[in-house]
Amino acid sequence: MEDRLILERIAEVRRRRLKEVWETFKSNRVAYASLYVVMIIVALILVGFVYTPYGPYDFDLGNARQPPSIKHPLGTDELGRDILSRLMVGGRYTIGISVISVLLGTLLGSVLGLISGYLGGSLDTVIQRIVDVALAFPTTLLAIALMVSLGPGMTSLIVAISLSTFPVYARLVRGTVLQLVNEDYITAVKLLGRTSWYIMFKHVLPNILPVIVVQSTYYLGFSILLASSLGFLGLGIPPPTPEWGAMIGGGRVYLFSSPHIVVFPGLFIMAVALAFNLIGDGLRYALDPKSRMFIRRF
Amino acid sequence: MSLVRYLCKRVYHSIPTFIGALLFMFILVRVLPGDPARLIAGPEALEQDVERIREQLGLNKPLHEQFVDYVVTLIRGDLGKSIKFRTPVINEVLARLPYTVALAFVAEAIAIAVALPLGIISALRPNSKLTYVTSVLSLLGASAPTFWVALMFIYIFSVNLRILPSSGADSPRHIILPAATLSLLLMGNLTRITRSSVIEALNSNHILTAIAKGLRERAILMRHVLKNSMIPIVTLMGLQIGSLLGGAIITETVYAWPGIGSLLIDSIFFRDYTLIQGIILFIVLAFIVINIVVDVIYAFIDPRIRDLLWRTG
Repeated sequence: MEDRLILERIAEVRRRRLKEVWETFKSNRVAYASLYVVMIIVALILVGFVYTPYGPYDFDLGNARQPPSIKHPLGTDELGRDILSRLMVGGRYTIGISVISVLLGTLLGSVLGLISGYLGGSLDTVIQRIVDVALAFPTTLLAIALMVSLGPGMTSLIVAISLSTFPVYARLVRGTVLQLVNEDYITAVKLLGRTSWYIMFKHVLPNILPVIVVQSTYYLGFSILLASSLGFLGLGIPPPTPEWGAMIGGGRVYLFSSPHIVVFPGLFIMAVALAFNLIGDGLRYALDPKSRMFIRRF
Repeated sequence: MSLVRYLCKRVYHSIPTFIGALLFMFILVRVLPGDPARLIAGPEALEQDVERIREQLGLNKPLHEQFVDYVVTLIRGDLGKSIKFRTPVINEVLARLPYTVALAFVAEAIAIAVALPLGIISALRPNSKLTYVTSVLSLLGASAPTFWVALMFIYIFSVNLRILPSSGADSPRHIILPAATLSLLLMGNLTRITRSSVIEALNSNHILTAIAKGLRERAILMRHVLKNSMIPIVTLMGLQIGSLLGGAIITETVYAWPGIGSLLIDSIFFRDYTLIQGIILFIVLAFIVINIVVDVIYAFIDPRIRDLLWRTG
């Protein structure tokens, strides 16, 4: 009976804490506005699944490289394809790939970091040596090298981006865990005789979640930049798929006469990356001001 | 004496990392699509000629033997010959290196010249307009895609204003646009770290003492605040230069700057696998060395860290 009361009380505290976090986040107007920016772009992409003003792959050579007009709000590209339509369809690749990569990278890095930090011992040594090797490569270089050997395509992109971002999580989570393991409440659960895995996932993980969430938000912005850079270099998804970075790579030759082909995809990429960075700032402030020290932003 | 011992220890500890990176890179490059022997022989060569080249290069041996061969030749200081240029890889890398180094240092210098004053001012005057502008600028720097910024710079300064060259490295003026593009990327983090470490130093007790002693504001700022906030700033600077030595790939490619980064992209598209290996090897080595150098600089700035590192590390 008393146990249930305690559990209910805990649940209530959690609810109140979440509400508090949300209120703090909302009071940060810039971060809140960024949430809207992301929602608008996501809405555009979702609409792109059912409707686009023009076919994103439809050539119209007579109307090639038209500047923005009422007919084509963002102009047309080198083959006369409507840029707005292409951006609406291309977003699912650029943003979809980034979201999936960050989820995978976070999962892999956090689990490894958790195991490494909590269990320690030889497992820790092995994991940290792997992380050392991965961190010896600059992130962009690692992603490029992986893309080159995996070959172009969506799966390769996801693998390349998540593999080049996981080591930072592994370090970050390990460091945070090491600070937690000596806390009294962890010792208390240990004395109750719970298994290591139970403590790791039931007690340690929830407490480092804020750090992970904030880092992931920043990484979303970073992944979008990384994914579009690979697309720009011609290492991402092969044309004619309108991935945002690849669109810029394709329009690059026409920079002198038709800069709009390059400008608009770039603005979209920047808007999303900026929004995620600002949301990250807001979340960091709302979730845990103390965690500021450990988070690395790009 | 202790410095030498510390250095030896650090180098010794980074050997496994280096070998791991070497192995990882070796595997990555070997699974590259395309047959290097076929590339060397040319598309019209007979199968038996391709086979002969494969034997000469040792490509017909099992992978682990190839790796051992590779490491042995590496230890002899031989990086192999570039498939495309038919010259030793080391010559190609060394020929491009000065450009990359110059770009890295000019970019870092621009970034410091802007970020340090901005960071300090925004720490001292947290509510001024300049602070607001600074935070927006540093965010934009972290959020704008580099390749796009580079193209925009070319459009503005080369196409419209016609004041700066857009590609190549024929004159000192050619370095301005690529360096400015890169510095934008560095500025944000540098400003942020300057700001937060100056704030931290301002709030510490010894600054309170200095104020209580009645020292002049400028003296406090220069002698006490800045000196104490240098560690994170120097660390970041070192890491930035380290990553620029290999990470300026995109900027170099867009501006056709003849450094290591654009050489890497070229050799990737040519499948010049010995050159790719050589470049990646160089970048990883540079990265590891810079990390050690940064730690040593740490020690010079902060005697507490020096004692800690040299006694235990």
